[in-house]
Amino acid sequence: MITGKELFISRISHGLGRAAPPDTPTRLVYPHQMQRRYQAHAAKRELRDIFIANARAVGIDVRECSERDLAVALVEIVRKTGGPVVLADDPLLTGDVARCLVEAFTECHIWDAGAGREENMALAEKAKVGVARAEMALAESATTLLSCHGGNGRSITLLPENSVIVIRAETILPRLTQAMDWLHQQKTLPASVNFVSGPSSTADIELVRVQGVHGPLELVYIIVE
Amino acid sequence: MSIKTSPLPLKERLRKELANPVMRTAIANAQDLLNAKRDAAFAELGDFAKWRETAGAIRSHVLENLDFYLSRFAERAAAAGAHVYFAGDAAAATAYGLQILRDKKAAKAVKSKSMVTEEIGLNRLLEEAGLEVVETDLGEYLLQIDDLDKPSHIVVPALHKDRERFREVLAAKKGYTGDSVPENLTRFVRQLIRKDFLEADVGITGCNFAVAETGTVTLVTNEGNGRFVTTAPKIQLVFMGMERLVPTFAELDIIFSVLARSAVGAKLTSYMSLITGPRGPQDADGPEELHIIIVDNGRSRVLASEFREVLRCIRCGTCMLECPAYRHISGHGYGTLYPGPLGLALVPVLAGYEDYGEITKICSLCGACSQVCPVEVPLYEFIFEHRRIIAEEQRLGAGENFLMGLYGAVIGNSKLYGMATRLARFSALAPRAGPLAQWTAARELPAIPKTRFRDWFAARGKKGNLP
Repeated sequence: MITGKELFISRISHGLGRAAPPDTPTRLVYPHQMQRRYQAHAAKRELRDIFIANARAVGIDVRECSERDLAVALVEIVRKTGGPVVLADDPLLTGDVARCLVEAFTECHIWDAGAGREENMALAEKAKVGVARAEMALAESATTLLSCHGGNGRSITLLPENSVIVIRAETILPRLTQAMDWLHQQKTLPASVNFVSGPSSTADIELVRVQGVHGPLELVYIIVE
Repeated sequence: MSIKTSPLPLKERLRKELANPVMRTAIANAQDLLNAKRDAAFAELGDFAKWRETAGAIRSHVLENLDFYLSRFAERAAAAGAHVYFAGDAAAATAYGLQILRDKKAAKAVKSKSMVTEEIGLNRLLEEAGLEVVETDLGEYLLQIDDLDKPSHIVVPALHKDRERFREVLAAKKGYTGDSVPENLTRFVRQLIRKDFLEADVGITGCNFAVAETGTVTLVTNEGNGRFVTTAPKIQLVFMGMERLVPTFAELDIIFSVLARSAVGAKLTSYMSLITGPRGPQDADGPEELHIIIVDNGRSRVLASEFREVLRCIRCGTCMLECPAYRHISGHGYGTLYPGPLGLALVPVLAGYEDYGEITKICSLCGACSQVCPVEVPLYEFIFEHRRIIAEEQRLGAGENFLMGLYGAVIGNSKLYGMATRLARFSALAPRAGPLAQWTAARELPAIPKTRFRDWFAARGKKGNLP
């Protein structure tokens, strides 16, 4: 629903010296295209190395493993932090990974989109670790892109103190430019898309960086071959 | 709050800020540190001139087509399921917000930092109506519980406070018993606000940029409070200034790339949230209702004026970090919600010369701000233009008018000019009290030679006999 548009827009049109909005906007000409040049010819392995170096530089714990060893890698991480665990409902996580975690720890929940807000959020709030899969990752800024809808609830990577984001190696791209291209191509957008580039942090007290404010205190990336 | 943040007259405000050593040390350190981080971030990115030219061109294009893009944005956001409300002024925007909260019988709202909600005075109105409003940005939270202290910077709002003050306030207001280590203070606040997040009925946010092609609103935070506010509560209200748009995601790339680097010297912030409509049918969390309130509140007047391009601003705060006046008086010295060079360029046209003409005198016209603005707003040129308009409309004070008139008469008359230059060598005798005291108290004029140049020249004759 839209309310109050006509008068509001006409005031702007008048301010711009016309009676009504034009049918099409003027052409936007980019004076430069520097954003497309960043690592434009880098090999996948190079992008991966840049991504890992940049992630470690901002305090993200980065691990690499094969898809078969993902369960082992996650068990190792959770052994350090303790459970419970909440997993996104994603084919990469719900099979072997979930089975191994349930065997190793008593509480491991898979986000159940059908179960309603309160139940899911209560489980996420209790969990020590939340695990989700990224759509893609960006080398320049050590960023992961999360499509938060359906089985990948927003709370999974927000409420637990430890956040684990699983990245498929072939989805590591140069920079934000490529992620925006991808969003532009989507026919429908999920209600929530989140770019994550580090653990929650602040510098509000004397500009001293403190890791862990409202979101996760620790962030782990697992790159899967 | 509104645009005005202090009841004191300009000079008293400045005296008060200049006498605050904690603030002055904090701001000077912050400027030096953040400027160095920003320089390093752009050096690593490379091509700073190209980035800012491109970012500036995008913002200028949006302003030139603002009616078109706002219409498109509203249609696309509504198609995604959002309610879009166009508010001509602060009263309309806050009344709409309050009505939604009343209709939903809400008791508590959590907020992530937003300048436009400060501008329209949202918190006060909601609190007067008996609602609890919790600011969730760490700095804003502290200002809120410290008897509604005012932000001194638009990105780091409590920049003027040190850790000891943080500790004192948390101890006095929230029973904190720990030390003043920033990590411990932060953990304590995390626990407090976590409860508020989960209890709140409504989440209130601003909007860094909206994307016209998809009806998406975005929030950029490091703390994660922006994500929380848009995840836990059932209702979300988004307040956005009407100029905060980009056409497509391609332009969002450019703007976000310069925003985080300019604001805090980071490549990107920890979180960037893109919200398109309320939660979908398959989603368990996220708001069931999304209201987007688009605010004019004087902006259409700015758009129609010769100062249109100040609306390019992406609220990064770089101009404040670079400003030598801001360094000494902080955001508080300006007495306006938007301080620094941006404030001096924007506020006089947004809210009028009558109340906000005088603050343009704070500027020393050094021009540093225009050189660093990542979207090429001609800040210094605009401030200068404001001063020219104010002077030509005789809005100067009586003393200044008299002196300027006297100067004009002397300069324009050769006899008077001759007399004045002969008297000039007695300038050291200018009184250090009275109307000239503001100048003479802090400045020594260079000693003026006993002989005037024209007398010296005349005495040499015209034969070119050099000394």
